[in-house]
Amino acid sequence: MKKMKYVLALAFVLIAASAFAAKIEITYMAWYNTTESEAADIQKTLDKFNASQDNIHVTMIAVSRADYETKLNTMAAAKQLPDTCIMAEPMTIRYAAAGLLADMSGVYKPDEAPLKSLAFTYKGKVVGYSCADEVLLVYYNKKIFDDAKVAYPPASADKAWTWKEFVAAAKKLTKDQNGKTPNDAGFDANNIVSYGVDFNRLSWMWPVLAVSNGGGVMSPDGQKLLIGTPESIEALQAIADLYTKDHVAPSVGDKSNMPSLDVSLLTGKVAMATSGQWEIGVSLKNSLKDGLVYGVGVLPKMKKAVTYNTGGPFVAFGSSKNLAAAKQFVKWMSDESNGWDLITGGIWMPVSAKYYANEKIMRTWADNDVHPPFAQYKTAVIDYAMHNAVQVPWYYFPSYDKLDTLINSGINDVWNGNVTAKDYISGILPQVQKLFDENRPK
Amino acid sequence: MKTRRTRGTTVTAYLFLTPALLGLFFITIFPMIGVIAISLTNWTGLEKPLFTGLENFKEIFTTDFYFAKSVAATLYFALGAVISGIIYAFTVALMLNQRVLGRGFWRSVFFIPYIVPSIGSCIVWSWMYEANFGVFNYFLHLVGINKIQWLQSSTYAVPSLIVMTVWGMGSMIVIFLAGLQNVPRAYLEAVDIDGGNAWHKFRHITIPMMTPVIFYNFLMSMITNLQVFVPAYALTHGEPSGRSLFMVFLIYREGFMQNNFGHASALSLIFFVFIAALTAVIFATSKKWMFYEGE
Repeated sequence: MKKMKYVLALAFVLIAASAFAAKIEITYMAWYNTTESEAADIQKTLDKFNASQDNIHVTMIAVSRADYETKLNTMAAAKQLPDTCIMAEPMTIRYAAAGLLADMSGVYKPDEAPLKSLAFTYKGKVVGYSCADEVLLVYYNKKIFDDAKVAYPPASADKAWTWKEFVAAAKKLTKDQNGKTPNDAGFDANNIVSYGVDFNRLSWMWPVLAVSNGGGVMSPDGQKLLIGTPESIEALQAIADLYTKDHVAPSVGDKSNMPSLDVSLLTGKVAMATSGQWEIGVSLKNSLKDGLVYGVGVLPKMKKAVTYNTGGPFVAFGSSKNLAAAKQFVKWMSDESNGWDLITGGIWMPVSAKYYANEKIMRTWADNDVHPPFAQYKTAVIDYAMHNAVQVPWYYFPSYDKLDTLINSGINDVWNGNVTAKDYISGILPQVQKLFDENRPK
Repeated sequence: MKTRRTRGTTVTAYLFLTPALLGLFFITIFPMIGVIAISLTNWTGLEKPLFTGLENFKEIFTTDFYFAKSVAATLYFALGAVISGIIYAFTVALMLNQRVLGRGFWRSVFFIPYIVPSIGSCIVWSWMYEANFGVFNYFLHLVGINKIQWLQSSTYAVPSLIVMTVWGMGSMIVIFLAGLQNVPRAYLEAVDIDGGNAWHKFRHITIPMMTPVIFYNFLMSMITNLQVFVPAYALTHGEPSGRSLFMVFLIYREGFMQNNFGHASALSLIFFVFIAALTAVIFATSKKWMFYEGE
């Protein structure tokens, strides 16, 4: 009888101990852009995760976006990496090549897997999926197009404008201070008050036109450099010509002083502009209350209709002492229900194939007051993303940031017309080729 | 033979020196040894380093795409900032050395920029340089001159940063002012007696007497401005087209952004040797133009 009592007491202690057992502690590093209130919003998501878990507790390490790479690299050098983080796209495959990222291939069941186009892959191993699906698009102010009697940019890839049609439309939309367009005699290119187009010249964005022309930065397998091809050079020159020759786009300097996309469109500073899907939620929705009526279309094409897709990935570090828990957290973070406000708010597009399965499901996240009319959004954004998007090379190429920095190191001289695209690319090509060969996955 | 008291004094001295020596050792000497060691490797911070000998140095002088650009940008900035800074600070100090109304107030006004945090002043200046609404282009517009892309133009970016830096040289003004107040009045009065004018006083008394102060300001300012970082980090990010790719910013970018710690360490060693050599040259040549009273 006494023995029985001891056994019961021991069993009770064990049960109690397991109930109060310490949770597995993991860390998640994330960035905030301008205000720390963004970090507070991320913390709310983590609180939700913590409340849903019996065995795992996640703590956030919030870092300013400007210092993010520095912080992560310093932590890596000190062997103090967090368990998981959101990764800046250009450095992801460098970390994978160094063997620091965990293999995420088996984490998702087939029916819940993110789109293949969002997989960051190194030597066949998936090391992370984008937190969101983002593609490059054309946004335009409908009123400016109506006033100039110009047809709206096409909202489906099969009807994409050719470059010539795009420039012709931009010329009709550009106005100097006397109301003249570049087609009129006496047009004053030094005093343009409304630009026809702002084709985004961000270092990673502009090569999308080169891809459309049959070139690009590199081949999709990351094995062949394409930046020096005539197709890439032609595309680069075409974008530069928008300012230097066609007089339909702002200079790089003017562009850097422009307000956000919504205000640029609302005030008529530009009639149309290329940028990412995220602008719908980050920028354009802010001016809806002020009367902005905008539309969305597909990018102009040179040879084929194509856009870039991107999105920073959630990753788990192989050095994590609690890798299973870290992977579980990453999987939880990629679940759309945990970023639903961002998705319905127009900042993110879902990552899982199931959200693109049929129109009814698509409407659950894209048919609301923030998004453009669903019929237009579906063809110009969703279908475009599904059928015409190619990955920015940072999905598969290590150290794409180094290549990007080198390719764009003097590109302002091309944008400003001081040097031709051909001369510029020829000048840097040997260095680019060397860097490419050093980093090419072998 | 040392007495007990002398020994006690020595021990006390070492005890007082210990914090400074520890600081010197752990914050300066130790990291420098580390930098030398890292510069001989291909360390990325992500993988185990491999010893590569002098490969990083060879690469910098033969194939590094950014090195020459960075040296040119750094020298352009440093020389521009130092020369214009000395002219500006000396001129202001001369004015503040006169018996002007509210002299104390004006001295404070010119010193204030020095105590403003550099990031803060960078942001304010970036607003003034803003092409559409900035104050400089507003005045240019008033006189019918087209707007200038101050920070985005290859021509104007570095001069714009130089102007911003020179504005912040309040400490140099104070040092010049202290120097001017030590110019012996007897010498200046001697010029009056000899029938000389203000220019003669300036050229033959003030300038020679001020050469040690000019030398000090030149040297310190040159070392400081060669190590310029904040404007490139906060405003231009090395742009446009590498015109503001200053050496310290390049070292930071190579090391902390692009994981080339070995390469960055080699760059910083080369830069260290360059500054040391330049300092030695300035010291060596100073004997020819510097005047010390009593020599």
